[in-house]
Amino acid sequence: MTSLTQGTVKAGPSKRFFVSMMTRDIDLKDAILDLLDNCVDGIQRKLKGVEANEKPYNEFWAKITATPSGFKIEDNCAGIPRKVAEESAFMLGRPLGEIDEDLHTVGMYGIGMKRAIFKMGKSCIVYSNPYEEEQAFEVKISPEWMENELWELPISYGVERSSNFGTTLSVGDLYESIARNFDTDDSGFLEDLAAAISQFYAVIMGKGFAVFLNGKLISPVDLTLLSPIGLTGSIAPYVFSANIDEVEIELVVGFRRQLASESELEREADQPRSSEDAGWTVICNDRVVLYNDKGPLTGWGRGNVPKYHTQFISISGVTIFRSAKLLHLPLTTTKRGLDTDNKAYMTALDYMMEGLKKFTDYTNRWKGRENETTPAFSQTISVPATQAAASILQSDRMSSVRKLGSNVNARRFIPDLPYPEDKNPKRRIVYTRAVAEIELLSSHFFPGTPNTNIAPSDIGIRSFEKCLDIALLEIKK
Amino acid sequence: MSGADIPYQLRPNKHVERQLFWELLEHIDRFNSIRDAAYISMGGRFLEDFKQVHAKFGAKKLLSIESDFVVHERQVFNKPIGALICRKMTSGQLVTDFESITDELQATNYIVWLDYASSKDRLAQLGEFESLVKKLAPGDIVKITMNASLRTLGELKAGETQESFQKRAFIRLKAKLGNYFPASAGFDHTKITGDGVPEIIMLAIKNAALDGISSSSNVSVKPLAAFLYNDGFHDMLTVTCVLLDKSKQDDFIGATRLDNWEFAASDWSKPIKIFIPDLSLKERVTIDGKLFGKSVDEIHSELTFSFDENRETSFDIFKNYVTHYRRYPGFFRVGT
Repeated sequence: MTSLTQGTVKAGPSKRFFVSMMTRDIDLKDAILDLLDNCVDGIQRKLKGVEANEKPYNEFWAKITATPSGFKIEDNCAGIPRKVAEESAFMLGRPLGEIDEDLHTVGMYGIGMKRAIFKMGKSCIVYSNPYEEEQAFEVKISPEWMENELWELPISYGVERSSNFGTTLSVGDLYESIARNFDTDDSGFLEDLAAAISQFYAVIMGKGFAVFLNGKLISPVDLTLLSPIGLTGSIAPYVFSANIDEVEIELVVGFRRQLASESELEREADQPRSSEDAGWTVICNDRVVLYNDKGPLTGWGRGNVPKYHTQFISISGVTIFRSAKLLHLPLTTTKRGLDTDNKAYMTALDYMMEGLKKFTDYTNRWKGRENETTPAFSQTISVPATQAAASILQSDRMSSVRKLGSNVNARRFIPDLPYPEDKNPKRRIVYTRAVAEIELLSSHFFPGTPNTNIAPSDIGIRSFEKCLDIALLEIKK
Repeated sequence: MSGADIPYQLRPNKHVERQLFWELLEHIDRFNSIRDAAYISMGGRFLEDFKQVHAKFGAKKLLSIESDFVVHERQVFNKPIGALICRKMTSGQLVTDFESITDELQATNYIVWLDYASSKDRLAQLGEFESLVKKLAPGDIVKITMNASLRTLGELKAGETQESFQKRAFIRLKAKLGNYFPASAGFDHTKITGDGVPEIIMLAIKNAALDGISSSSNVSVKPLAAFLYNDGFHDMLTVTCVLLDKSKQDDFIGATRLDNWEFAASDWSKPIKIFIPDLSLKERVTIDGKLFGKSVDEIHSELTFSFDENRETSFDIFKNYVTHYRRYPGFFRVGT
């Protein structure tokens, strides 16, 4: 019998995996957005979660400079605290217990900054001038470090302090493909990046945060919906709110514009334009994670909801998840898309579908008669989607949701959208006449057929038709 | 032709299925009072099920939906009880506006029956079913009837092999069921048989039901009864489910004693077939007069007629009659 011996096998991480492989799961745009997320999380930490007014981020900015020779992102968002830099900021993955408590941040996994650096180039300098601390510092990542298996990085304290409390991250030795992306003569990437920032940072920029790309201020997209003027109009959005698993959910869906006419839909089919603005936008702690989505993730084509089609060009919705418990949010590591197993998301999805169905039904029922809806739409005004929701949430029109009970504080408002009458509605006419008169008409309408073979209802139908003919003739005269 | 045109009373299989549904509700009544529940279905011209649910349980929150103008008009005329609301609306509208209906009826629980006859819109039907389940709360009952006829998948063409037809029909059924098709069941074209198609559709119903509760981690959806019967022309599948708070599952079984009901569905795998013969009064009196005096085998042997040229099939049909003889409709052709 052989004796048992004990040993170990290597099960640790390989740096090559992080440097080469992890970067494949994210595209360049999202990697840069991750860096912007870190800026915003810095603001949250500085403000300690207190948002005193509608523009709490007014003083804060991030400036991105992206050229073929290098990438830089500089902000005044309080910087990386020394302790955080020494103990966790440069680790690959956030240690347990390091998640911000009671703050509505989005940096949850602790990989965004490193992944972005590895994605773009072989060297990097991270400079931090932390708020309420005595020294600025600098951490350097060299091309050699990228190749070896050492897991520590050199940090230099006492470097010159800049005029702002913030962080500057400069990536050098850019990979060839990245440098090409940053060359405006060779690539449209920076245009796409600007568009992505305007979409995915719409809420955050709406709160006052300024983002510059190569010196140009980027303006946020508008997320608007039609709201009834004075709450009396019939075209109003559907609103749902609840608190599931420590996540506040608020969703609103409705029309962002009047129904499209058939000719517009034909043009749209040739050259889709307006459709880009339709669909669901999903926001986690102010960060847009899905912009104008028209797929099953947001309820399109699921259950009794039809798949997206250009005829639904006017429908738009916004779902907002907010939580101080980051891991309870339906965020993925790339912050693009949603964690579909998340409890708050799954609940929200049911009501996103319920709301969406009201507006697809409305669109379908008015198909071909869109111009008749103009009076109803004229009683609406375009407002920010959150404002459209707020005006209903603050009214007494929200009602409880039977299925969810009261412990999750679920409430919703279902608009009573006006439906058209049947195109050719029918009504029943019943009347009684003397048998002799019926027989007279029977002989008149059906000569040669015995009266007993003709049902009184047939006489009634024929009489009505004759009378209608006479009326139509007289009207024509 | 659809079974809907044949008067309800003359469809013995359907009649038996209805009787079994009332028996099921009697069991459920021990857990949640049916009297306090709202009953919503597509009552047809004569609203027969509403008469029953009112007479048996005293339910007064009753809503019949009907999309056909003519049938709706007859419903209004035939309305058996003043409390019954006969509303002209489609099943799709019912599901979309379900929350307004619950606001209107204000019942503790809901029993909703989506009675689909057409085989054309199975995907839409399952979508409506899923969306309805999403809106139901624990304790609610939902029943769905779907056309599960093999014949709705096409017919064998001249010169075509059975296998070729089955492959063609299998692809068609997969397309008709869309994302509800039970992909993990490992079915292939050999499942395209009279018994196999209902099993596939039953699992599609399961998938729709599970999608319906996906957001409610503390709620389960359980099949309570599943039957397959011929409606004169088509094979119809009915599945009744309950939504339950997971913590109350044992209470439900304990109170309803459904584990002792021989027609209870234990899982989603297979419906119970109802295929009783169409009997004359004389045949029925003859058979009933011998029941429990002799064995089923003996009675069948003594009959001077059979129900099928195949002896074994005839005996199966006969046994099915014996199972349900108490539920057999009391309507007979008068005369020759």
